[in-house]
Amino acid sequence: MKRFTKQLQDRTKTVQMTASERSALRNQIKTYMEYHPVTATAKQSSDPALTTASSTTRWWSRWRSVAAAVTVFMVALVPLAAERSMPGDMLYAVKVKFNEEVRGSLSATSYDEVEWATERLNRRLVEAQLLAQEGKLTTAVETEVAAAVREHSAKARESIAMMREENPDEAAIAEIALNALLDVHSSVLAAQKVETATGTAAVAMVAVEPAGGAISEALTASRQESDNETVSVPRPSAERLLSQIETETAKAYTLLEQIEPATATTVLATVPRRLEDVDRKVQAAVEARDAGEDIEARVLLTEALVRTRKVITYVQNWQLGSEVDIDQIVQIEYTAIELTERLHFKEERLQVRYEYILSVVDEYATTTSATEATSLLVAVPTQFASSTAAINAKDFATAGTILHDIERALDAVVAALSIPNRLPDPVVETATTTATSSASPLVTLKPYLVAPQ
Amino acid sequence: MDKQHNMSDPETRFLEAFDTYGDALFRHAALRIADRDRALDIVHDTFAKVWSYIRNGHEVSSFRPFLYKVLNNLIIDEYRKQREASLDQMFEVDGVDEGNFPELSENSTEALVATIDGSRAFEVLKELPDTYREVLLLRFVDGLGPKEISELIEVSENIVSVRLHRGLKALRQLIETETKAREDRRKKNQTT
Repeated sequence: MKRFTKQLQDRTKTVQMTASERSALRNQIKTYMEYHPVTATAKQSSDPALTTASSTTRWWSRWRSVAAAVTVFMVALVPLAAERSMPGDMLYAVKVKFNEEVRGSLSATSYDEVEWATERLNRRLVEAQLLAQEGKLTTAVETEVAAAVREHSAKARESIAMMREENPDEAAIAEIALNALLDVHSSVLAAQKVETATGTAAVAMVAVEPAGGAISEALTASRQESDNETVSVPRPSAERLLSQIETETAKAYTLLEQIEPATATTVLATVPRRLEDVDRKVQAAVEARDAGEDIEARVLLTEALVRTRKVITYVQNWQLGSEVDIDQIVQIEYTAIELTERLHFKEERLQVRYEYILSVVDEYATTTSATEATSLLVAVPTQFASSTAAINAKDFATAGTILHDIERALDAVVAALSIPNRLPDPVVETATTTATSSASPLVTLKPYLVAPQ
Repeated sequence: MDKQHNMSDPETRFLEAFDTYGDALFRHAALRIADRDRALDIVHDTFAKVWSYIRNGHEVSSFRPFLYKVLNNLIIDEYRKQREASLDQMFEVDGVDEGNFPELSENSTEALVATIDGSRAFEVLKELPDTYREVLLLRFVDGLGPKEISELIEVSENIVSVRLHRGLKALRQLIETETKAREDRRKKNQTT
């Protein structure tokens, strides 16, 4: 019996989880536990010490009550109130110097330290954003935030460097999270600068700072230093990335579930689509991995993780009061079907415009401008054929470039001939076959007026 | 005895249980359902279910039998989902009575085991009906005794013994058939 058992066990030992599978599974289970914590009553019922009643005198009891109230006020309420404070508030120092330092000292691992440094970095930047929204951002706060950006990103990088020796995958994951956050805030600042410069900023979208300000400089410098350190660091394994994406997407969906639908129509209308994009990217990565394209799979999974982190940052910051547009942080990734529809729509619109220009060219052309217009328009039919072929071949980048060229050519003709830049009115047809003579006219809109579904 | 039984907080004990039994549970699941990814899913679901049980205020005094019980139930569910014309059904059609085989004893099983090569048994294990693969893996790979197995799969100890005995006989038969087929192929190759 022993020989049989040993032989069988020796062979079955070859069936085992890989180290990365084990680590990924453990992380998934830990995440599950974090999102489904043991209830207080459950803990209490298993801890007899908590259920033992104490016998004390009335005086002692009253004294204890007063002492407890003071303690609760000092230990719980003041730090709790401080959590909502902003730079310049009386309790802000408690938030930054006490609450955050205490929480930082509770970090058990280097990964926790990086996460916390990244979180603090985000807090400072969101505070600056909220103050800017209210028009209260001063140069002093701006300088303070810039210093905090440098300090916390340096702290995060330091912890990542320590992790890199022991656990390169964890270090790479932490690095991705840090860089995603730096990118989120850089994108927001850049977009706001463009809006301010072009005068298109909405009232609420006040730029955090003028172009070339201290915060932007600190963000750029931190990102640059991070890039310098990670230039030769390999990406994490596909399994580790998959596990992290599962953790992060679970977190994102939990955040969404916690949002009150009535107050968050924009968030609930935009975020799920970004998470669907993540799912599609993960699916593509899994297919690449199964086809033996490991590097391609890792690249796609890294992108998916970055997008997930950005979505989480967007939702968390929205909860804190940030009014940033999600498109400034994570844009939609159109599917092949959507891109085909959008490009066909643009193509049809340009074709209508092209035909309109041809129909009026004689009316507006002079001897010299007619030659110029002809030279600009001669290639357009061929370009349309090429764009259609490119769309059908799913070469969307080429199709987009060709359509852009056509648009520029048509703009040039309109400018050369001084054609009023308008499009024909929609065709209006009256229903003739209906029994009721009072039927509303059927309005057939030209394709350029109909948005793709 | 579970060493994590001495630990205090449920989170630590539970993760300790994963570190201790995670590999064995995965091995058991992978050998039962022959699908690595599904085996990982099932192990994940096992721990998720057990954690849900704990967080609702229940106490798990010994993790090993509890984890195996949940895992086994999930594997059975998996079989129900993807049941096809398998050897299980053939054996069921035969209507073999598992009722009473007093001649079966640990000694007779030992005698049977002594005639089987464990390495070869591993190779043909996947061809065995799950009813037998289940008890053989629990007995010889996971090291559970007949009583523990009977509690786990909720049948009498006698039926466990019957299944072990028949499972071993089926294994031996499969190995012999496989050996004969190999021999035939070798002879055929020599003649050609």
